[in-house]
Amino acid sequence: MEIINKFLDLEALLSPTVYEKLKNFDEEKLKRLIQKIREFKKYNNAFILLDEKFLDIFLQKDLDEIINEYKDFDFIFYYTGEEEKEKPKEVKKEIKKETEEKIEKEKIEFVKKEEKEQFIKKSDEDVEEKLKQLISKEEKKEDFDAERAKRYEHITKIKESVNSRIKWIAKDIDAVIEIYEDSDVSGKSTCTGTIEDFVKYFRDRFERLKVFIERKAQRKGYPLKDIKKMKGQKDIFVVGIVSDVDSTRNGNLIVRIEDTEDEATLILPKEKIEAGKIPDDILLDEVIGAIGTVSKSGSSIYVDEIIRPALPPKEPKRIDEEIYMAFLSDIHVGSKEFLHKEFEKFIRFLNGDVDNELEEKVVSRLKYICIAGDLVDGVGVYPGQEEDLYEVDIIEQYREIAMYLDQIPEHISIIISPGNHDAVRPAEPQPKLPEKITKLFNRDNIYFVGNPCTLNIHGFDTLLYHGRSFDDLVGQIRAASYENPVTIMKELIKRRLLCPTYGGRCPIAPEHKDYLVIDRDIDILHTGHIHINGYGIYRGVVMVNSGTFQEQTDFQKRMGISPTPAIVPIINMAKVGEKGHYLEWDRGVLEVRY
Amino acid sequence: MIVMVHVACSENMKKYFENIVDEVKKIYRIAEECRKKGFDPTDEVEIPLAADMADRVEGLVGPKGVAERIRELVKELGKEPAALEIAKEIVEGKFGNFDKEKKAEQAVRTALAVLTEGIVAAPLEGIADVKIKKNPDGTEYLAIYYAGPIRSAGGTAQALSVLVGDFVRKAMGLDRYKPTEDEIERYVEEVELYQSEVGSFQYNPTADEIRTAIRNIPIEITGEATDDVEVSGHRDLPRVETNQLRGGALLVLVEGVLLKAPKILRHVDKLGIEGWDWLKDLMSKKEEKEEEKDEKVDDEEIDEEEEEISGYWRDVKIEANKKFISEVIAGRPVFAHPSKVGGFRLRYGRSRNTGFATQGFHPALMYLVDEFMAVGTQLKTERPGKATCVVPVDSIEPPIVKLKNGDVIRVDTIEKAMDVRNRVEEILFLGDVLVNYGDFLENNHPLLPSCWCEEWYEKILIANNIEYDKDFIKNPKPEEAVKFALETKTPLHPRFTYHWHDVSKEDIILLRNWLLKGKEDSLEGKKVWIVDLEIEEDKKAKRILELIGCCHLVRNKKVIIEEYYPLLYSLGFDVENKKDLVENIEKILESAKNSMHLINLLAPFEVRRNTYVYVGARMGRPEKAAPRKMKPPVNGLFPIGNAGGQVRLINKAVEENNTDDVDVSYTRCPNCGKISLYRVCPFCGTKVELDNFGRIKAPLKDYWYAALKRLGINKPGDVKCIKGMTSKQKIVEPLEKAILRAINEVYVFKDGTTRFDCTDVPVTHFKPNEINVTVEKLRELGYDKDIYGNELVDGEQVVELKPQDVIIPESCAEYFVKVANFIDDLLEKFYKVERFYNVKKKEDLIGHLVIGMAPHTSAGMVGRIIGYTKANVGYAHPYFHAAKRRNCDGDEDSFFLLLDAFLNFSKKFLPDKRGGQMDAPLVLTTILDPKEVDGEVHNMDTMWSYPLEFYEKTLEMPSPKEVKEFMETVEDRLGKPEQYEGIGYTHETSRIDLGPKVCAYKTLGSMLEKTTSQLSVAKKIRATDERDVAEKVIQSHFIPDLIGNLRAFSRQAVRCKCGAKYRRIPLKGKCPKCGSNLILTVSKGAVEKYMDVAEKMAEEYNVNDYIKQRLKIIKEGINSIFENEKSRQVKLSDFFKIG
Repeated sequence: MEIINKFLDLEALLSPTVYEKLKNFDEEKLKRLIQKIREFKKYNNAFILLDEKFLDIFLQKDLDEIINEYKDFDFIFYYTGEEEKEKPKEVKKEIKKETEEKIEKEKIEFVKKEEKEQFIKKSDEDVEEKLKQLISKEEKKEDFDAERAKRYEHITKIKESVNSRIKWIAKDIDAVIEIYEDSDVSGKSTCTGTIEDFVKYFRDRFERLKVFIERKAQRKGYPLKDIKKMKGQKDIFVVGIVSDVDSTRNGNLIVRIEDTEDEATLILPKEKIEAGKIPDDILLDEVIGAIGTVSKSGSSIYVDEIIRPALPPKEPKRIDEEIYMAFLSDIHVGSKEFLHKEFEKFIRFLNGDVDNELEEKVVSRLKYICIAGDLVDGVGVYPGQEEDLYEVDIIEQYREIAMYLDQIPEHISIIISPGNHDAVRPAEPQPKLPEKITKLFNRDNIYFVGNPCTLNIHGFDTLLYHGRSFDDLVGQIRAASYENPVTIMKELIKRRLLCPTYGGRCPIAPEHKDYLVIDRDIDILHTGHIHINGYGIYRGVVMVNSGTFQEQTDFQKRMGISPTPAIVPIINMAKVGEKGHYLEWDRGVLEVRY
Repeated sequence: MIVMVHVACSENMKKYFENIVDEVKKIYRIAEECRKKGFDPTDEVEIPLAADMADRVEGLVGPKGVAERIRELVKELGKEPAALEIAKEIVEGKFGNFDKEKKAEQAVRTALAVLTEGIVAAPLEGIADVKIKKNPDGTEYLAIYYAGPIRSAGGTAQALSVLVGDFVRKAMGLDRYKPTEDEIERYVEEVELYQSEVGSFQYNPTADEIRTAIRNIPIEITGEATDDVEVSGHRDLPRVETNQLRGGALLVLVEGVLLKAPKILRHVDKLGIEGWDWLKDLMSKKEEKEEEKDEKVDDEEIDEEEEEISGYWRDVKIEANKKFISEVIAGRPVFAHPSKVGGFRLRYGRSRNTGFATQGFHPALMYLVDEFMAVGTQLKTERPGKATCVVPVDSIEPPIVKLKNGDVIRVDTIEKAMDVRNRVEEILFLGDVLVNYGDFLENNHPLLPSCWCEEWYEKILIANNIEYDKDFIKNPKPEEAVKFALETKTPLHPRFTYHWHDVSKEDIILLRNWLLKGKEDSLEGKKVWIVDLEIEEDKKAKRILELIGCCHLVRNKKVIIEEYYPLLYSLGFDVENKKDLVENIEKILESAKNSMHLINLLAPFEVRRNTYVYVGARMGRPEKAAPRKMKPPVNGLFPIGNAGGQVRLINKAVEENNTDDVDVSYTRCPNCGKISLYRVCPFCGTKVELDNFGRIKAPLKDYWYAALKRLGINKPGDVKCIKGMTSKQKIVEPLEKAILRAINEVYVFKDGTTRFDCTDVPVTHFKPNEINVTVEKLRELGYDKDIYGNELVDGEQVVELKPQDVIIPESCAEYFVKVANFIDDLLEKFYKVERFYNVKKKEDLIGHLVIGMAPHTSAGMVGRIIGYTKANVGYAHPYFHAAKRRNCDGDEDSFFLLLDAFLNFSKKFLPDKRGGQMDAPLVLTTILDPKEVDGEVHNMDTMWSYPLEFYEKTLEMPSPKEVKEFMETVEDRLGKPEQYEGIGYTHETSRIDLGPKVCAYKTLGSMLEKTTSQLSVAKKIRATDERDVAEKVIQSHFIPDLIGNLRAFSRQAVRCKCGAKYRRIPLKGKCPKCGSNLILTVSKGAVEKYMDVAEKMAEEYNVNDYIKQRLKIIKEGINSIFENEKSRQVKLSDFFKIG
């Protein structure tokens, strides 16, 4: 009994013959065997059935050899008589040899001390119960594994199941993608969490946006420290980062701004705001220029005009070739609300499962897919998330989405940036997904980039940003609403800033460069995060908010948010801004929207 | 200030109260004399005395002269109707005619004060404003603006305040509130948002319930923003001033009106108030819903009962309540998982130091759980309530442990516990938790079947007129117990009634077969049973012996059982005649329906079920006994700005010739021309008016030397002052007080008083010896008889505590000696009058008066020190705690010396912000009237023993109200002289402060040490699953902390050592105010502090993969913020170059 228990503690079962054999072992030999199995279990934690074959293996081979050979061996299949399946498995455990050894040593010492008497701790019933528990746990895991395997098998066959005879025009078009490295933090994070980092971060924001504002005003701003000397002077131009906004009793807006040396107070008169001459939606930490009259005391400036670093208006970018780009985000694989069927349908569509000529034309010319974050639901993003997941292993979540993407026709290039559910740091800018995840994706033409990141895709300067800052902006700007995402996106373009306000829900990593400043005069701004589709063109910039493949969650229900799942925006890159250039794949049907 | 003893009491008690009142008056007069000298912010003592609730209401909120009328009305109508009536009379102008809105406001505040007994701060702080506003149709209506502190009123008073509002509205002839659709939906949104962002309500209303309520409540329930959370829809409504959550209003709506609807209805009906019928409809709909639910539950229960067997041995299914363990805090152990076998056994009764939410535990256990339980440590419990406080009771069942050598022993003394604590392998049973009936009544928790205990056993013997020896009940001999059961045909003595129900029928047979292989023998002169412990089978049987809780020893591969008589008889073996009483064991086994049934088929006497339910518990917060200090701690309320550095030392500022600007009230003395901050010029003694207010350079040096001169002190040492005043008028406290406090090493609280905080623990009876007081002294204080009516002559006699007497912790006594010296110095050197206390040692404090007061209240209670103990808790009569509106489930509050409060307290010091008036003695109750204390204490039982019917009835698991008729509680004594005297208790304890005095949580150092100990305790206890503890600690404590701090890091504010704080770092990189370098508020260290511990724990206890992955992702997130990738790369490339 004692022997059985010892092995049971190791989660190993003995066959009757082995038990008989072991009974005749001397203590030393037994101990060595147990030790060997214990070491092995660090590499393969399965329930082991120790029959004669494995007893011999454990007795004769040396540990490294066993580990090498059997670390991925599936004992349960072996045990239940089913065929061994090929299952990818990672080596999970890092061994902390030192501590393990110490514990082992202590245990041995303890045994010596107490060698007078040795009792079993558990009654027979306990043993049986433990066995039952273990087996049921294994069975559950087995069921779970089997289900997962089934799911995977199904995904890997999506492509085959489409019988298409489409002429793939996009196949003959070479992909042209260039990542603007200076816009991507990946591999370049300088932040070490010191106060100097924060100073550098905000100074960079100020200096860079100041250049845009001065260019627009076509003059240099006065340093704020000189304002006091300009009592009563008119047409004074200054630039600063907003540190405080307040309104007075008579309706004027008081804005405190600062530059690297000093501070100043701007007074935005009520009449001018009401007349629409100056904006009232000044946000904390955005950088603005102001033209106005210095008060008689020199303590403040009465503002006549506010100058923002907004992107200059232009004609939307177009190219000659008729090719299409699709936009995805917030797929949330792993969540119980992830829409498997719809997502599969979309993949089938990409593979030529089409119903009409329009669909065929678009699919045959579709060359690029951008994914703006939240590929998976992740783990531990919010408290109690465990309950909402069908797959609690984040690696498996990524494996699954990788399999889906693998089913997309090879000639389509995919660009992926992370979001707040992905397995990278939550603070923005976020670096691209780490290698242990990207290696799960088997395609060559996937581009992993950070969040945010700007790329040139076939001539279009495309900015991918997940959109975490939207949560803050919606509360701050009256005109911005979740229901209509472009109302929020416009505000980013006006301010050339992806996350204007510091200290809200969107966490910021103080890099030495503010990656959240929009440097280039981009052609496309692609965002996600809020699970509601939106489209528009502002100042010549195409604004796309791709929706989601996640059904309304309980949380969203309670907050009254109605997502628009399974709608994929697609644009015709040759006709941007013209009739028929914007389409949506809407739960299986392709429709022209604009 | 006429105070008469108006409560129902004996002559003796009357004298006691009169003594207290006289002493209060005497001290009051001393303080009055001193304050008249004009050195303080006002010339009067600022704490009005109140004999009763009516006085307190007048003192707290006014209006003047209302007390008398309240008394009349309460007498005539009862409390709640009186509150409504008084509101009406105020509106009618009976107490002065002022502005309409003001009258309405006064009416609401006064009525709410009556409803809350004039103790809590809600009437002052919970109501921000009362306004008369306009409906869209032009009609006028009443709006009450609630604020956060309305919470302190409790649900019922909150609900009734709305009714008061309606009363006031009608009396003023105002129309009803007509909400717009937007406003209605705003409430719906806010309730939802509050629950997701701030916290949960006790009741979760449906959207329709809210809509109905808002449409129908005749006044507007609105209020200030309480939380920095904005609504997203329904913003900028013209009649709602804020877009943020109105926490106070929501609380009143949900936990008041909706949750306490039945109580409102009762008053509506009684008083015939119109316009509240809608509430009835709402209620009946709710009831329907609940009935449906109930029916379902009933069905389920019936299903189960089919299989049941009648008799005392049936299995009772009681659903485990896991709520208490949903969160486990690092370093605070779980003692027993919910309802897990081996956990606490529920024992009914009250000891003299339990009751009123405090429960008794065996002191030996406190040592065995590595001193994580100390006197006063809070526990979160599975049932009947949410929390309790640990106190020692040594007359209940002690823990049973298994030692490393295999012995199983009952650890029934502290000495034994100390002896074996390092040899314990497993705690098989934790022993009893002593819970009084009153706690079940208070929580309205169905009574659970009683364990089989000595009290019950004794009641049965008495009921059957069976003669017995008292000592046999307490200390039965095994042989004697068997013979007694056989002869009297009564159930076997509880001591030898094992936990048969915790093992299977087959186990019992296995055990029996094994035992019968043994033989009688003698060991050290005692008869014992000896069984072999050789083969696996033997060891299995021994484990069963452990699981049923039968003690035994292991020597030389033999098990030695001393209690073999009851054990073997229970298994059907006649030891006397060496005869097996069982013929066909197979058949019996087959016919037995469960283990208990089997035992009763085997045994020649009845064997009752030892335990029906085990109770789970985990540690809450540790006990507390410490001087109240502000952050940073200061000696006086004299502002010095930043002149004294971070520690705010005025002596240092003077030494370095520093000064700073401070906001104060001041004047230029007309006589000497110097700036006076006091109402008497400190330089020339002229009385002045402080008619200027503003920012001035603090004349520190002048004040410092003037103060020293006046006190006649040369070298005072360090004196810590405050940075600036937070009060409205910013009138400063004389610097002399700060200096004298510093010299006596005492600290000051924001209101000018010097306090000591400690955990509340009840005590109704004491022995002079356990509280360090002599019999002589006690007799002087009016204690002349013990509980049996014998003359008090011996320190071991048990004496009933008088309701206003308190027993303070020793550390408090030490602190109060210093405070008393400070007061005496103050009297002598500052006010130039005689010393009062003249205290040299702790014992000298006995007989002196203190104030007891709880946070969130505004009324103090006079108490009298009669002794001290080593325990870190404040012992007082449950009434006394209830008078402060506290129960004893681990709450803490403060004591301060009466004269200190009279001399040094001033309302003018109180912070000018919401909640500023809380926790300040705005009024003081002199005589304790149990009718006017927190009603919870009225449910405490007061019997000397529980009747047999009670024990029998518990098996049916009735509502506690069903047995109330034969259970006496405080409520039954109210208004009669017995309310103060003759209160009983059922279980003795040899000392009220046995056991560890300091919880291990406080003595262990790092978080790693704490969690290591927490898990090693978990490992030791059978009823605890250490892996679950590890997972819960990581998931409910470490991970939220790590994530929270990581998030906080990336949106943190910065601060300057000058005290300035910035939402975002200024571009300058330096403090714009003083030019110094700025400091982060969230550092790297703060973010990572639990990372290592969490990882280690996850590894060691092999927690589930989900948790491991979360930790890994968090760690990578942290590294990504704190590691410079660029420099890492550079280093690598450099390395290659060199290579």
